[in-house]
Amino acid sequence: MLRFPNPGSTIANFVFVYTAAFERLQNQTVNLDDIVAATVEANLATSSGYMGSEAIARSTRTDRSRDPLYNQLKMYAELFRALGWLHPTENSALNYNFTLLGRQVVSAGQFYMPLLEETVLGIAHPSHILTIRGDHNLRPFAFILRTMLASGDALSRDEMIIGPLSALSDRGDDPVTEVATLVGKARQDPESIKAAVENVSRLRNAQINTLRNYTRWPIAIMRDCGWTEKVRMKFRRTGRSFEVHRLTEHGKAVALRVADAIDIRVDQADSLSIDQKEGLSIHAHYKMLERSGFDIAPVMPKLDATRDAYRGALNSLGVDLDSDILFSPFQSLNVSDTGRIFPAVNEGTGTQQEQVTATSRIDGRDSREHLFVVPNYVQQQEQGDGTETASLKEELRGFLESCNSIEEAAEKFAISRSSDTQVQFYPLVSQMFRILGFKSEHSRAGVNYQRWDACVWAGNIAIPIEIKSPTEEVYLSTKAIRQALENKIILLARESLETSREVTSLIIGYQIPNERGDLSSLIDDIFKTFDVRIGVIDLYTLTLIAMRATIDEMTIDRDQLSLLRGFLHV
Amino acid sequence: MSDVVRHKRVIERECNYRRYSGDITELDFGDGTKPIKVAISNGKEGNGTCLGCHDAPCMILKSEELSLPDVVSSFPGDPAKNVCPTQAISWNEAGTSIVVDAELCIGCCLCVARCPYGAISSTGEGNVVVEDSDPSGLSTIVEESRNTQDHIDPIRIGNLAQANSQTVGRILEGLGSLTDIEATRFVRNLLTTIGIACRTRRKGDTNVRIDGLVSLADGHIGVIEIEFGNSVLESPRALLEDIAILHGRYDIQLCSIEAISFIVALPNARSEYFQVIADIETVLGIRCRTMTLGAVLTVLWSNLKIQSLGDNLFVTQSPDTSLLIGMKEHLSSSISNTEPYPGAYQPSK
Repeated sequence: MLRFPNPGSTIANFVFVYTAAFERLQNQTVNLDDIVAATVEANLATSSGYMGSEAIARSTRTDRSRDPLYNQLKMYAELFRALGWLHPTENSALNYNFTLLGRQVVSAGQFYMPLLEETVLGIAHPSHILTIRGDHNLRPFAFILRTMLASGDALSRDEMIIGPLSALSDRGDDPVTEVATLVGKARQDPESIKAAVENVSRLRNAQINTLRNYTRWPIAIMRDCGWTEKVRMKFRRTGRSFEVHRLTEHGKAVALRVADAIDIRVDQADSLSIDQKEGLSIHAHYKMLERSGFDIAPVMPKLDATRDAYRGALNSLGVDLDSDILFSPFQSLNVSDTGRIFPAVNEGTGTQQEQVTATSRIDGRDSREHLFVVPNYVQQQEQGDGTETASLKEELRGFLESCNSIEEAAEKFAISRSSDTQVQFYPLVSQMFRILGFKSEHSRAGVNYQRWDACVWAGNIAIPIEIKSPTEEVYLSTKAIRQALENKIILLARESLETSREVTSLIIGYQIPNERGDLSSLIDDIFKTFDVRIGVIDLYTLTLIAMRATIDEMTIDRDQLSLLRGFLHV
Repeated sequence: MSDVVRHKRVIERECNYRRYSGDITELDFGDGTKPIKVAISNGKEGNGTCLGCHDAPCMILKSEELSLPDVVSSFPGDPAKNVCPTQAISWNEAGTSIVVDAELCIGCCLCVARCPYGAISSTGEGNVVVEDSDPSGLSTIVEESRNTQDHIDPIRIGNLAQANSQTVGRILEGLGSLTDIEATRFVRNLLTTIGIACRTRRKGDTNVRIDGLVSLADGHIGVIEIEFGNSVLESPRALLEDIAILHGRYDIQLCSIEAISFIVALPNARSEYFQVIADIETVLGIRCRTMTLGAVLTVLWSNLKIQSLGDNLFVTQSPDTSLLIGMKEHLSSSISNTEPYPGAYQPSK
């Protein structure tokens, strides 16, 4: 199946990214780090909650596969190459030059869309510009549009997966009918399409969600080009409806045009003489620009000079002179051919960003180790409320007895609570604290006149607790941190309980996300800005400490709990 | 010979299609229901007309309008520069004048405020009309290719539009049909046009959670949270996060940060919203301001600009406070007392 990367949110943004890179780097050979820098400088990319150069510093890693900005721009670059806007250099597939075609996209300013449409139609495989996985002989967007025409003017996402994007070739006897027949069979009922997608998944050894991700960019671009709109169709047998992308009036006109056009592929172009290849390329390129609204009068002498060669090329290929042709030289020919035919294409002089790659790979930036707090265990002075917590203690003991270690028991207990709603989770949290020897109360779920979901007392001092049950958030988010800060402010302002500024505001959640950069940065920011401590405890940690209290009457140090800033970490 | 060719529409946009026979000196918007009267330096007067400006300020924001101070200049703002929230405005076929689609237009009058030549006016019925026939004979067609200079900013008097049930109702109805990003962009364009440089978050950027940043002429930087749904209470806590990020990561002094919630209508007087804002001021000394869409439209439609927020502009110290008091004190005492819609100035009881 054809795989299109999906680097961004909107096609407008996609064009802005290219424009930002072009405007800053147009006369140079560039690498991905250059494009990252240009994109960040244009405020089009951020990383780890940071913007500007700090975003690059926080993203850049020695292991480039873990570098989010680098990988995002790698996806952009792949698509820019497919569109013929960016070419690899002859010496390296990782260094690029901006093409004349890309320059034309930028020069169109806000009127770029018709040329974007043309270059989307210009994507064809194989191509000398981009090697893809699989042995595809396809002009994918033209094939999708033609398949839509033959399939009631519409295709669903899954039908694109089983149909045009999985086809090896759109050439030969009647590939459109073949694929449309496949789509027609899948439209019988939901089971048919499900089975067909599962079949592709099995054959390609890829998860269905991964296959669907490959369709995101094509679907977005067809939508943003105004070719398709979402509507619902019905399965033939069951009458149940499903979402399809249906051709708009404009989309249908484009589809009819490509269905009638003569499609010239790279193997045909390569079979031509040098002069004929030049004639074909120059005429195809400027006709494409003319269709996109450009004024080609200034290059008429060039077109006149190559007209005979163009005619010769079409004659050699058996194509009628008046035919509308689908051929985009910057998306098909090799770099030396386009460089020779369009000598104005910039040849750069070395990459700009070698210093970035050398200096910035510092794996993340800023240690957050100070936010991971190992519990300081002390002998429990006060016993928890026996009657209220007896049942939970019994449950914890049960897990301890059936497991080989306290860690395993805590983990299994936490998993057993993965479906808890607020109604079960709030009392669980307050009972855990009581087992630890602290006074604690929870509010009824939905009662929010006090804002905090529970409270634990360190002596007489109240610590507000924001609780996120696993059915609200499996992984804690910054939303919980915002609420914990607000809890603290309300408690201090309204003085409904005795507290003090330096005492923490706690968050108890099911799990802390693996990527904690966002949470930890915000905890630090809040402390630096407002002098408010935010402490975070996940269920596994709370359970493990409560189990220790159950076994040997050890608990967490009261001062450590009340001044916790960051994540309690066992 | 260059291989690079130019787009015909770009070529067309290099000059105004027409120009007035003198420099424009005054725009009189009257009561916001009739064509705009224009005065030019040679003494001629009459109804304004579309000159087919090279840069179409009624349609496109300039990059400079979205610029922020260096310290936050890397904020990943929405790069789209279109002015109209509903894409109702476009060039006519010949590229000589703009046209407004009456079906799409919600009558916000952003284009009216931004047109330098008084060509677009409110009908008073929830949309705008464009005059392009030059009924007063004020203009001549530009023969030579020129005129890429900036527009002159004339004196502006009168009101761009009247706040009545039709005009306001159409905007509120139109707001409901905007996507999240379009609504956010609308806020950006409103603030930019009333003199507050603003950049709102780009769609798809999940790394920076601040909805928008504004820069005021007095040097203050503002964080802005836009809440058009039912979660107004989320707004103050989101502002605190924004402030923590600006101070914690970019070392911006707390005293120079303004915190602004942008909402449609003030919540009910009994809402916790006002109490939370008061709590934040009590504990942190931070004053969270509340801009409503109606209050900002009033500023726009009254031809007013905001340079600073002062002590009391858009401040809701208690559920009894009316935003109108601060607006009259800080901007103009001539602002009408009539609330554009319930909740625009004061919370409903």
